[in-house]
Amino acid sequence: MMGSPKSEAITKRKEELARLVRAFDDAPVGPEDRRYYAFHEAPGKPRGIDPVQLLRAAIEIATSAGAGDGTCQLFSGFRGSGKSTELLRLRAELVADGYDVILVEGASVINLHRPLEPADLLVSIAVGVGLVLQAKGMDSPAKQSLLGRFISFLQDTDVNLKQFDAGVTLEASGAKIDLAKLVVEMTRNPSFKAQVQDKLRGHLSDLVNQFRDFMAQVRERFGKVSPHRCPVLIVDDLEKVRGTGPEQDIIQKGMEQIFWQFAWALRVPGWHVIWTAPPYLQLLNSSITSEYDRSVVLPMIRVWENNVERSADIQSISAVKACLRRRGDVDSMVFKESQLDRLITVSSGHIRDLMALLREVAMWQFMQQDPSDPLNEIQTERILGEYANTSRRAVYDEDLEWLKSIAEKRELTLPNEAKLARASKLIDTAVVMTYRNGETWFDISYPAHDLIR
Amino acid sequence: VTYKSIDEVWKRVLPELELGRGLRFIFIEIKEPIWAIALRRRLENYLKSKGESLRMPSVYNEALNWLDHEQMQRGTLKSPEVVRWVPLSAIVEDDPYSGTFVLHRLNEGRDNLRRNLNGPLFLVGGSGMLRRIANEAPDLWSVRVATIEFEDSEDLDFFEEPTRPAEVAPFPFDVCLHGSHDDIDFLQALQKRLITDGITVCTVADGVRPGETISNEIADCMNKSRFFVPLLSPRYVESNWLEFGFDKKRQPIFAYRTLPIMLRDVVPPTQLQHLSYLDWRTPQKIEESYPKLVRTILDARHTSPLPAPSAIS
Repeated sequence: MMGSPKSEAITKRKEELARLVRAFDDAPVGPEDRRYYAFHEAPGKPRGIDPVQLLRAAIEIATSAGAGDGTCQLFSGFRGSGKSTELLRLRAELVADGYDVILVEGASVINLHRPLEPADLLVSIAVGVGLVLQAKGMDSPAKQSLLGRFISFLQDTDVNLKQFDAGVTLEASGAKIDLAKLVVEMTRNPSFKAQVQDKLRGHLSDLVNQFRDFMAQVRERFGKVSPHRCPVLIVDDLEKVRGTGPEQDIIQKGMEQIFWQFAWALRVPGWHVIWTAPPYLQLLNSSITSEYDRSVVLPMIRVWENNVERSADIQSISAVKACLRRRGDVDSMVFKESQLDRLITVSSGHIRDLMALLREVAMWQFMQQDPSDPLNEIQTERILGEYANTSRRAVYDEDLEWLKSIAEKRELTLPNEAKLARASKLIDTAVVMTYRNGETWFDISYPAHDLIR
Repeated sequence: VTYKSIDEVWKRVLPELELGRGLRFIFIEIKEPIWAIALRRRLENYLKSKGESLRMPSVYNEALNWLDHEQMQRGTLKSPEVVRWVPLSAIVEDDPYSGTFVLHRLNEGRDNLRRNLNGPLFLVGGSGMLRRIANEAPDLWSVRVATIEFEDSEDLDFFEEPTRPAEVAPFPFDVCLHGSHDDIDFLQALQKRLITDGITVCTVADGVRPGETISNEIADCMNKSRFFVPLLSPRYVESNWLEFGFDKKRQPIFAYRTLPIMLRDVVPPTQLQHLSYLDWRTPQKIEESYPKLVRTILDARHTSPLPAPSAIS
């Protein structure tokens, strides 16, 4: 039986809204995806200089100069700011330029929540590279011989791989490796990880040489072997390495050590390597950047100007609306366009949070008796109030003076060493963030503004 | 911005059940555990009406086990849409072996869980939970799809609307026996005797000291039982837990019947004054009315699954 025209219209609108809710799902999109929006090409450059262009430039300069040594760069981004999306674009552009690119998803080979040391980082990356080769269909004997030497080195340093059922069997013909098992042990067995760290602690130089030797062999087999065009290794997810509870400080200090004292170990001759790193490393210790060929932090979308009034950046807000319209008919969700502007502003240019806000708007519209009615200002303000209220949970009273100082000066200064851990946490939770328009400046998120007033 | 009634919370939660895709983390901060259980009950009834059930660990270790297990499913197809409920109320008590530990593990496994699981995952806890998640589990925090803070208001009256019989989940226990610590021996003896007579019993003998609030354990036991049997004594009546077991109209907040038993001379608390009670102040009276108690409980198994609050006389 057919329903009334009204009920049919309601059903249709509910289906549209269900699609809209899903359109705002949180996931990185590649440049070929129709939802992808090129902020770097938008008028007014909402993120300042294109970060991908900066990373590519360092590679191209080294290639043009004929230096066969490669480069070593850092790339950071705030949680949910679109970093993985930009890395997907970087890979696509480099491949289009004729580079061989290996992208290792760090999360698949590293336990991101346990202390990390340079040695076990390199072992994990070697295994990650092995997995990529395996996925590319590289023949098994090649993989065995590549990693076999590496594994033999571990055996020589008394890391007992057999004891842990780490997927390694030693036979007369050499080590046989089950990469999947080895990965499981490395990411899920703290005892195994601790033993690897313990045994390798005194052998870092040897290990680095082994790793470099391994990567040189990978280049021979995998790369196009052009002396002036080094292949590219992108290591993603390292910015997510962080502890919870009492291990938090230890892990943070470990990351500082890796990217500061052991920066030399992260350089791989003959490769352009891009390491992702937690944003606080570069933002809180500017001297780290001197250790790398380039250090880039992906800023938030600049939705307000760097002036006292924080006047709206009209061009950027228009760009964000264009980005949202790629996901669906967002204009049908609200009465007035100014409501969209307000949602964008309160998100502080944080893309993941903005998508979550739009998802919430679609949800609320769906819940209405007549879902074809757009949400009015009172309703969107309620959603924003809820968002601001929960966002402020990341802030403690003792943070307020410091946040006030950042908001006034638009720069990040640490009152004392003890504040370092807290500062990294506030950067990590995007309470403190950076924007760029020619220069990089700091500010606090929109919800945090209310707290310091 | 806080939610003031369970209806309001439910209104927000429902579209997440119907529209979402993939794993959705929903954080709900509720001060009193009793309201969390009421919300869970509504969720269970909703799922039951659709022929589905709620996945919930009974103890924290179990939560870790099934999260571990499900994280290990990598390489296989994503799990079907399943609604999961993880109580984190213990995180405010700073117990490293319960809520906090589960929270940290969830945070660590976020990406794997999102790769492998589908459906809403409710994380429900008491005061301070949202702040703890924001600061201790930033990975989870950054992908939250709904954050709900519930505060019960003075005129809260969500039990006005009775649950429809078709939606009522079966009771795992016939009886929830509840008594003071002073009567623990009696409580255990009665439990043993009822079990011998074929009655399923859930007992709680703590959380009834003066000044204590209702514990998760009691609320859970009440929620799962067809009959609630309080053992009345002066010490029991001094406790304030009954304030949580009944609403302002003296209606029990779950769909149980209340069968008070008077063990010693005591003025019944306000919430129970409208009910008749079994007088068990002497051994002789116990033996006289015990068969009646058993018969009432067993008969209820064959009647409507939604008992009206009443008592036997």
